[in-house]
Amino acid sequence: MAGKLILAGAAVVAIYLISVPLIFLLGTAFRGPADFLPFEPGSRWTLDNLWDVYLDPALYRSILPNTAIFAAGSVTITFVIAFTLAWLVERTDLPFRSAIFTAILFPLLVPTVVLAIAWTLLCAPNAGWVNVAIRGLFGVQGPGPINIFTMPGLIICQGIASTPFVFLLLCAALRTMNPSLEEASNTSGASPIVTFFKITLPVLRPGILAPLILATLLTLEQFDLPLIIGFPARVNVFTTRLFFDLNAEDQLPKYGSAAAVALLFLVIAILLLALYNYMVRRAERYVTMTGKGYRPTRLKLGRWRAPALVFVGAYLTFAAVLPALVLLWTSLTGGVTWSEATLSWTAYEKLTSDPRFWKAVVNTFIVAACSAGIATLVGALISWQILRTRFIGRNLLDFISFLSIGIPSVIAGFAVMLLYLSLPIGVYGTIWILVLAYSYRIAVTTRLSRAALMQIHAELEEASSISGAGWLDTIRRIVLPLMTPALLSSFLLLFMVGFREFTIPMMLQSDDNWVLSVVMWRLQNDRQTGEAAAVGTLIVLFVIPIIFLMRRYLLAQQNND
Amino acid sequence: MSKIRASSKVEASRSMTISRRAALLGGAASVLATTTGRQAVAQTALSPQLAELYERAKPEGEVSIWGPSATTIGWIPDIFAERFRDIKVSFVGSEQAAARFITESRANRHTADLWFYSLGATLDIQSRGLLQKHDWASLGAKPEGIFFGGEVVAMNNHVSTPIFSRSLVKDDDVPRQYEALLDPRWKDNMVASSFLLPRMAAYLAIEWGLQRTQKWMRALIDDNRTMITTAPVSDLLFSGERRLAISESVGAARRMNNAGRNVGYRLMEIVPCTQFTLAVTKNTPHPNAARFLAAWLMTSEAKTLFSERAGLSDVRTDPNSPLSREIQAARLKPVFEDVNTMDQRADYYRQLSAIAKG
Amino acid sequence: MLKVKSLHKTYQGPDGSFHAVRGVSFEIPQGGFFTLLGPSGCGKTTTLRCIAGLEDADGGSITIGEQLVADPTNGVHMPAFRRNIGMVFQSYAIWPHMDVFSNVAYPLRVARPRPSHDEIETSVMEALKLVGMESLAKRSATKLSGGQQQRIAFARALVRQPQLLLLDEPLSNLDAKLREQMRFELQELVARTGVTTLYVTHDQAEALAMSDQVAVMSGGQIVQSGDPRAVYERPQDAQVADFLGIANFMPGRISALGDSKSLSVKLDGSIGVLRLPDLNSFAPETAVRVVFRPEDVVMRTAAADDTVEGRIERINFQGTVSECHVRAGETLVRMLIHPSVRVQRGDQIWLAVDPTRCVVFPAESVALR
Repeated sequence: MAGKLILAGAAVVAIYLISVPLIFLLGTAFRGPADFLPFEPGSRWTLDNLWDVYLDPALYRSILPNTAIFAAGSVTITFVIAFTLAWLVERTDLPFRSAIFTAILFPLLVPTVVLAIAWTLLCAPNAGWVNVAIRGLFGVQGPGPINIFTMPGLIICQGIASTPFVFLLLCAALRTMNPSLEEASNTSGASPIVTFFKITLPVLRPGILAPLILATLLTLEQFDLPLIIGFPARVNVFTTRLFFDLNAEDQLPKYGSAAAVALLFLVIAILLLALYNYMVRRAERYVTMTGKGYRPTRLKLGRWRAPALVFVGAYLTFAAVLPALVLLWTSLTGGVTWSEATLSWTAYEKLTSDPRFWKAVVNTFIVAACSAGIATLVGALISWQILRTRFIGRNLLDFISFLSIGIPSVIAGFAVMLLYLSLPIGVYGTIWILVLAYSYRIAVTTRLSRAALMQIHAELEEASSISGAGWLDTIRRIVLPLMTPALLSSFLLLFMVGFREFTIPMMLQSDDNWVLSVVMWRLQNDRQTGEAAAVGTLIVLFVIPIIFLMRRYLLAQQNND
Repeated sequence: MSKIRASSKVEASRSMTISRRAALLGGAASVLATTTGRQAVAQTALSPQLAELYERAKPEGEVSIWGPSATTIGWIPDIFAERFRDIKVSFVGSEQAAARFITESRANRHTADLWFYSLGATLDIQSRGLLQKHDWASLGAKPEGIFFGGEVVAMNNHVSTPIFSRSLVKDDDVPRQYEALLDPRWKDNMVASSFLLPRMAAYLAIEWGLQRTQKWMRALIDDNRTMITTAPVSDLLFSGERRLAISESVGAARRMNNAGRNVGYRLMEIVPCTQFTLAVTKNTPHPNAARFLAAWLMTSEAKTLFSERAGLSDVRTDPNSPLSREIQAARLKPVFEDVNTMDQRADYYRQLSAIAKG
Repeated sequence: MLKVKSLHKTYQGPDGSFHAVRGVSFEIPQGGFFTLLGPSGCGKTTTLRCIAGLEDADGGSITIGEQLVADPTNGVHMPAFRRNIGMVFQSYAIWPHMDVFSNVAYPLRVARPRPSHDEIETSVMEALKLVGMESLAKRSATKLSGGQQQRIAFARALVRQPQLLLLDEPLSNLDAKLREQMRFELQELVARTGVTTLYVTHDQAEALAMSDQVAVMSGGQIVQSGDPRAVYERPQDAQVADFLGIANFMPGRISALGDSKSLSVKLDGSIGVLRLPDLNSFAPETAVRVVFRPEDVVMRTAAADDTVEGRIERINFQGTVSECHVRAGETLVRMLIHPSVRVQRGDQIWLAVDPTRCVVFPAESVALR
């Protein structure tokens, strides 16, 4: 009985966390005109927002094509890089594998804004470090040769930024491959290349396509890079449009228009998610049938070892090392030209001596940890419900939970604000509203928990029942401990996402709930570049231990397989 | 060279002789407050009127002021913490302040006492009847600076000028004519904010007409490849990536210099002056404290602090402020924000914004 | 057909190196069925994988047919896909993304030169008919049962009529009944196609039933090799004896040497004296173990020559036969009796062992006891 209550509770919580932003989104799209906020008396139900958005030729002339090119381009780059890296790490005898695995995850630590700014500093046409270096080397003049403020520039940057996440998922997929499938091909007379294309890729295909679809969805949702790099390049995508609707400056934000744009995004998200689900089920069927290999055959790289390391090194340099250096440099010098720069620790001194900074640190940790914890727990319970019970609504629950990925965080933030302003719960303006706002990302945890649960045979739980344990005890003593690696991975992943979350806390900020990313943005906006960079560096330093924790659990999982 | 120019030059050179490290150290006392001044503020004694307001405000103990950013109003709590310890000032500095304020009011939550924002945004608040009439005249406000029958008073101006890093560009290199910025030597060398540029251009359109302004903007962006960005321009200026930030402001330059930089500004032939205004909210939770803070902000001491800490000067109602005199001396034409031209300007802004945003 | 000489293979692991195969040599003639038998970790699978080319040997040589496929000291490493072999894996390794036909056709489709479409069609259907799966040709691989997958794996391994068929414990994942059935079918199959077969298993019943030759492996080496009967009846040492079938070990001492071909063993505990043919030379008083199988013991109700006294401890009725545990001295002897024999627990009986079916080992060699 307690079991049923808890499950029902989790389901209700999940639906609540997700449907608030969703309903808000759907409702607001049909409220106008823009002079009034959606809930004000002057506002009424109208289709005007939709007409304005979808009959605007600019949408079809530039925004949609740009978005399509941007998404296609960056996902391709992400795939090429992430798959190569995952392959090298999982299926070859690449040296320093586990260190490389950890290093590749580095960009996950850093708010994308920081990456964007770092890359701008590196590759801006006039004064970018890389350009200055190249020009010096080859004695050429003028802006360039590399101009980051172009569509290719945007695509490459986004591609690199999305790589770690896709890399993680691809590693997991590669691990499910039973090596005897390839050995059977070998002994049937197929050369390694033929084996790769006829056996390895097709068997892995659903497991590879699923992360790609997810990556497409996430790319479409990206804000920071399109704004900081794309917009100056005159490349406007969906989210740019959203941004300008919501930050109309001098005017009230145009929530109706933004919601109308987000509607299209939601529709695309649903389609992609359906496709993703289909792929995942295919992949799961393959794995169930072939079982998992107990020892992956590792390809010997031989003379390909050096090029492979160069490739990995190049990625790490551009994605991790250089941004870190830029951050550090800026924090120590305050972001001036080389000739004027003097190194000093002032930025750090000022920062760490300010109690408000430490408050922000504490806030960030609390918010990230609590929201990650809630989402993980709810996600685990939901996936248990979906996989193990015959509850009628479970597919719907599954679908709704996954839908949360299709909601841009900007909309989620505003929806939460609106809700808690209207409810008498004293959560508005505190860090707890942030916790609630972040917790809607149940999709990730549901997926990860589901994958873990599928590997735990139902019989293990049945044995517990027969031994006399009630539902709660079985979950507590059998299921949760067995799921621990997956639970921990999802917790840590969400923790990092929450740590660097920026859009939502910006929207919900008050005196009491500042978090580090907001602090950074504030400083940046106030032209205190040095301190801003110092915050960025400290964010990275705080989260590095998390990466090592993640690595321990993710690699442990790897070795246990 | 006029006396005004000389004094600002002296001011500037003083900042250059202070070593960078000292300037940084002497800079922001609190990282989360705004950029700050270099000297302690001379403490003027309170007038009897103000003293009485202070006494009446003490029981309330706190007051909240909302504005566009920590830069513009974040310095106020620090001053109060120094001088008026019995009143704690909190602030909300956000670009979304208007939407939040309206939303909170609808939900019957009233946390804001004072409202400090540009006239355009204040209009949204005022039109919803969320402000109360206040006797600004008794606090020294000039009649031309009082709007909406006393609900809103003019405080200071955001004066739009290009800015540049003095180590890379000389003052005299920057022309005073906007059209001169179309010169090829500025190609690939300029940057402008996606919001500030159209806003500035809207003022130009009032003088030039829309068509000429549109043409100018297009040439600026397409021919001279001026970068339009939403990010703060300071990085670009100091790294040398771009040499001129067109649509920044005197305030921006001053704030950067407060933080130890060496930034120059150039007043142009037409000087757009956005109006910042102050108002008391209708359902102010701390009415006496609000009155006190409002009164204090109207003192000349506060105005000087505003200018030093936030870089905002009163050009409209105070012809004797240093910036006013600077403008007069160079025979430039300031264009002010006014209730009657507002709609027109808003319309221009919308159209010019479309060009800026592509 | 297959010649393996002094094969060596060492693995480098995180805990140091492991010498898995230590000088294994054997030969399989054309059409022969050779089994490597041993417990897990004895090196049999590694040997098989070296022959397949899935692992690189570190020493020795492997020749398939006329082709030297591996000779590490001389730098010969023919990769797996160039060896003309067929292999069935323990997990069958049926490719899930293809249907049955494509799975079986694969070796032909990747062959260079590639046979014509019709040739492929014919060969595949023949192979499927061989395993009785021709009606399922278009079925998706994910919809096959374990037994069906196994048959497909066979068909695939044989479709291009390889020189050598390698089988890696193919029956271990099947349930008992199916396993027996598949064993018969496999024997049938191999006999019909006449393919040279190397079989790896830990199940001695399988090994004995199917093979022409059995090689018992332990610790990376072949301990004894020969035809099934020889290995079973004449184990070379206690380990082999114990591994193949049930063995009873009775301790005793050499008491007398008769003529050159017999000796007497006085069993410990004075439970009897056995006169056995002397196949090894022993000195008197040497401590020995006498080894015999359950089926070679007969129960008597009275003492006689070459009998051992004992007491029945347990009788397990097993349907076709009853297994009897008899306490004789220190040893618990396991033997088989017809279910109709009327004895019960606690009865005192005498065990008569057929001396020609006993083997004597020195006591030290049985240290594992």
